[in-house]
Amino acid sequence: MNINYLLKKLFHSFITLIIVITINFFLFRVMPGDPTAMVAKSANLSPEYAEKLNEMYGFDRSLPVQYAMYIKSLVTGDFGMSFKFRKPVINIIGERIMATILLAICAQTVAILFGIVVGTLAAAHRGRKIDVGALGFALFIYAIPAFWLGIVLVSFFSVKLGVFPVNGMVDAGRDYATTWAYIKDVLHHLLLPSISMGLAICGGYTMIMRSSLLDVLTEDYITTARAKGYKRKDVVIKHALPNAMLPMVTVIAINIGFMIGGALQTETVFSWPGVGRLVYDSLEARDYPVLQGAFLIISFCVIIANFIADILYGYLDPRIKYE
Amino acid sequence: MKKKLCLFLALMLIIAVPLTACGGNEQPTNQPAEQNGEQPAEKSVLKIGIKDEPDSLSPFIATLYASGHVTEKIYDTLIEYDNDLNPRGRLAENWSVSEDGLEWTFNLRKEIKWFDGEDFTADDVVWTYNTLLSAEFPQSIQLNGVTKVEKINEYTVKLYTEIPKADMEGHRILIMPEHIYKDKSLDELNTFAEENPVGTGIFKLVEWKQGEYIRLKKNENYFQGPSNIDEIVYVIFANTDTLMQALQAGEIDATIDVAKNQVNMLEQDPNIEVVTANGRNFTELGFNCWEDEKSLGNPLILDPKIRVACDYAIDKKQIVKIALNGFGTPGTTLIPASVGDWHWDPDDSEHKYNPQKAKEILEAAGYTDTDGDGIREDSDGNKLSFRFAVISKTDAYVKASGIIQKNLQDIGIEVVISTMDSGAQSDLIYEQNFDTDMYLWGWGCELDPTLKLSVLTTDQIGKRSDCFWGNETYDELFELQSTQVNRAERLETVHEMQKIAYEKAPYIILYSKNSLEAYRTDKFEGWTRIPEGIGTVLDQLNHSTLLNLKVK
Repeated sequence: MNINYLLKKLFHSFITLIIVITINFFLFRVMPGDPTAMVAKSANLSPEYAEKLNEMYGFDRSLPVQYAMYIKSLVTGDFGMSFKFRKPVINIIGERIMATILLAICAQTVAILFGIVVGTLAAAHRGRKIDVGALGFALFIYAIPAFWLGIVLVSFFSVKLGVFPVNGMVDAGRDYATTWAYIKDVLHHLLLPSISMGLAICGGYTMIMRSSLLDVLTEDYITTARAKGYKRKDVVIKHALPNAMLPMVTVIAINIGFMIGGALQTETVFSWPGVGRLVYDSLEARDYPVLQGAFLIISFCVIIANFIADILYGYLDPRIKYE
Repeated sequence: MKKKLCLFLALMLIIAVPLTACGGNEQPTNQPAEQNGEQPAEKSVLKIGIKDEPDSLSPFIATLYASGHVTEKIYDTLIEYDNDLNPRGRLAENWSVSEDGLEWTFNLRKEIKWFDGEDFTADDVVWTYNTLLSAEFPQSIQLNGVTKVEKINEYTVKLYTEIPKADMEGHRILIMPEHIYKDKSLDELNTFAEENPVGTGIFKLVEWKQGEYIRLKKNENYFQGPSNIDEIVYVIFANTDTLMQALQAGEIDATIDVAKNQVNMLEQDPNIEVVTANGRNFTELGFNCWEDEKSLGNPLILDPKIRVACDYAIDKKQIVKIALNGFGTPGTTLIPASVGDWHWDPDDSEHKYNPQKAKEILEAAGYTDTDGDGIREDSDGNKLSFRFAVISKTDAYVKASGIIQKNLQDIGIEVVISTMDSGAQSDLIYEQNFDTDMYLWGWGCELDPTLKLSVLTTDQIGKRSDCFWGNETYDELFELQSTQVNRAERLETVHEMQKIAYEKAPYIILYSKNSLEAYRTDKFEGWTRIPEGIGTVLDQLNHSTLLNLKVK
């Protein structure tokens, strides 16, 4: 791989990260509310105690000093103390992020597989019954709100049939005899949320895959390939699909990033202990340190996902490397 | 081919990185009870569904109702209430008060041990109270008026008060272990995330998985007798719909967060019992009563006549029916009827729903609609138009605000609603010079009326008072009642105070919500309602249900 291309992309990602960190810092300094009163949870605050808190959280320093403190603590992995839980932010987010990533990966897998297969089928049979059916289904599923689909799945599979648990990532408070039993329990809890979330996003993927493939199929080199006598199936899969994947990679990369923070609806319906719910609860409690930490980690995930997408581009589309 | 291989490897990398990262998480969090794969002996586990997650399990910093619900299992108070809600000792064996009402002597129970085996003694009580007195903790307010705490001997503690403290028996402070905390500074106590609390209570904390559940196991040596259930697991739900579904599916055994609109559905389930009890709480329509010139409210609302007219104009029965689905009682005065005889009943002077009377009051006070736009003006042409802050997340507030708006429109008062989150509302009031005219808020009530009465004193403006009202007579009576140890005399004063607040109407008490709980009848028996037969089974002032409950 072209090392310059890699370095250039790394540098871009780094600059983006710095900007995000800076915005993140100032954003939370202009938010409403007196942080000291929020930490103390009492408007009836003695001045000495308020001073002590100010000192502890650094509110009494000037903005540049606070900024320097902030950068320094970020580098050392210290994201601050949660106002609400009085615990280090990094621990609170740490407990939640894996649950979110697990859900995001599984949901994306469902959605990507579904999107590529159905989108390709639809494009290959343009205008025929398969295409009309697939497109209709994709539009329908695209329009369904994720929370509604989740509730429907829960009331059917969990309450009516009783085959899947209603909430959480594990059976609350259960002792597991083996690690395998634990994994099985997590998978059992994971299935409904990932299907519900996967279905909610696969409609978009299907449509993008279909239109992208249709575009590619009108290219001259496809006609050439057909003229050479390749089978229709080979033309679509070997010649058209790789090029048609380019827009998909972009969309998937953006989606993965956002899913880390944006799985709120699914996490709420299934009481999944993820970051989306944490962000929502923290917003309500005005727990700025947690919000700040979560925003940073979500931005970080988006940047990483985009970086990976850029690298994949390099492979999928060799022209990019020589720009 | 090479390109494909690289693509494949890159894809594998994307999928593998988070999966291996997850691997660390997929370890069982508890040591398996038995390694050989056999099922451990059947434990009785009570699963209680909750909607709100506690903020902390350290009584020093916890403020949420959900936190209290859990910490009261882990720690004990000196005093609890019996099944008829009369105070009786828990950690205290008995207590007495001196003739002048200034010295309270508590004799503590002997042979109580902390979870770590240390003896519970007077030192723990003295340390806890002194710490609360030395700084502003959420619980400190309960010790208002206490000047000194003294250890007499290992099992006797004396509390000194400035003036007689009428609500002493109503205080509910959780006693913390001195031997664990004595070396911690105030700063440390303030940020101390209680991971492994050492208490004396009926249950011990096993683990708290944030966003998932809190698990407690029984204290075998509890002095009121150990519970028959081995574990309580509080399962945290992110929404009430699935909470109700989990109850129906039998995934949880009980809940303290019943969705009002699902009661009918639950009642049809033969295995589920819904408990409805009068709630010790009220929700008020508060007015901006701040007379300071800094106030950004509409000065017209400072006229009590307008506020009383509003009281007549608002159909509280309708609000209970619509906003609470009928699960509540319309309110009248500051101390709700569920608190007992402290409640003052206005009888004939009640501001019953009567729009005609409301209009008459406004007419008599000189507020008429002169320009024919349906909104009344005062003699200078200022419109009776008020801004109304409503917290959007509380469904009942949103519904009630619509009814209030319509009711007031009917008598010629315009109300402009703006919905916001609760933080924004308290900013408007406390930070931005009370930049609104009306708002909705609610309070929980103690069995002793002092704390709720204090909310309307002039002293509390900018602190716990959210309407910034002040009234000298009310303040004087408040001081008087807090020193009246003679109950009959105090009762009279407390009633007089409510009468003043009712006539001046800084608050219009809209309703008291019912406490709604639900439990499954097929697994456990022994659910006990406190007060007997009419109260709640889970939110209790003693451990009746936990001590009586057993597997069927």
